[in-house]
Amino acid sequence: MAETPALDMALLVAEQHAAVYRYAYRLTGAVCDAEDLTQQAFLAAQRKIGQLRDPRRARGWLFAILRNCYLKTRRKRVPLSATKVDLDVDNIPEKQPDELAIDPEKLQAALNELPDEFKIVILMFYFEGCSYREIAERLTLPSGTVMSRLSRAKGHLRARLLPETSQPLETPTRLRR
Amino acid sequence: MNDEHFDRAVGRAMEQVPLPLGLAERLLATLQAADGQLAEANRPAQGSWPVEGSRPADGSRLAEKNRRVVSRRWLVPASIAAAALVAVFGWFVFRPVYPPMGYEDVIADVGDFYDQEAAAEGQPLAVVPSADFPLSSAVVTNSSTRWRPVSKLLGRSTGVAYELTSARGKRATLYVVDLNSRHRPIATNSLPSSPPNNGIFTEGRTMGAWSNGTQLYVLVVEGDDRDYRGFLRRRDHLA
Repeated sequence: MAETPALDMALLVAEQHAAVYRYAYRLTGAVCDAEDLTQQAFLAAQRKIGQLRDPRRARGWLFAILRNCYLKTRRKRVPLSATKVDLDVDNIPEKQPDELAIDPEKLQAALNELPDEFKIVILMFYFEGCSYREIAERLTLPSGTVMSRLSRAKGHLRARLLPETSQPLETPTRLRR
Repeated sequence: MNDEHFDRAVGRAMEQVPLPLGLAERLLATLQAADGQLAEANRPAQGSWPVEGSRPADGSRLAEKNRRVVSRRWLVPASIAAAALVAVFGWFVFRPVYPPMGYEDVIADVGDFYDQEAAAEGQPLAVVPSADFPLSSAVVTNSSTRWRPVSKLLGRSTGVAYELTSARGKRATLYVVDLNSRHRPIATNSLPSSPPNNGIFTEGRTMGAWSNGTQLYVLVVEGDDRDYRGFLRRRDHLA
């Protein structure tokens, strides 16, 4: 009986480790931290493998475990106040070519500047394909809060990734929790 | 650039993360270390652990494995249920079967019980007669009559003992238990329906037993046959 979860874990790792690692990397912004976080997530998944009833939901299940592991890890560190993070969202982008190529490293740099609350929301949107309602439901947050965080986080990414085509805002903005 | 284009571009960029070499192998080694049972049996029969390039296109393998896992999970409750059925059947077949107790058996058993009670500390007595185990109308009672609950008498979980005192100061105990018990069946046809006029005298006491409906009465009197009869109401059939 105890061997059963192990069978699942081998397959889970084989099928999901790449996606989980990518998500972890986008969360942590560092290769070592991403690998550590991925290991934590799979270890937690191994302990909870009995909870996975529908293998088609394995990826979302692992992502949820990963997010929780990440937040637990972050809570142990000295929190970085969002008010201390100056985010330059002075510019709003205008028109762009249809196929825009975004530098993954710049993207990571922009993500690293986001407080966790915003980063989690934006990664759930892009990585998991969650709507703001789904994000609100999974994070047990008000929909308005999620919409606000998502909008402001996207604005930050735009400002960081498309500065040459952006328009200045009337006043500088800071992301606040 | 509109939001849709921007979202698509960011979404593509999100996925562009190079994987460290040997990540899957390290993960599996960590999991193996954490769970010693993630072992050789879990390795594919041919080849090594699945790596990035050989990952299945969908979750079909995992789904198939999990179906088997779910099937195996049912084995445990099914096994428990089967074991329980076997245990019940075994108990039914091999359960201790007690032969019905005859009159002498009842007297001997109650005598032993009486001795054990006498060796034990006194128990609290109640004045109000027990409703479940009523007194026998064939026994002489008075205002000093008390009762107390007893257990494990003749295999019954509950019963009652009435403490009686005669006008001459003799003491007696009247035990009342339910006849309806499969644990220690009593051959009711061996019991009279009223107190026998002559009790069984042994070890300084005289005992008699009878049944009335579902109740079994056993009277234990400290003394001889004369003392015994002193606790019985005079009736024609007792004469």
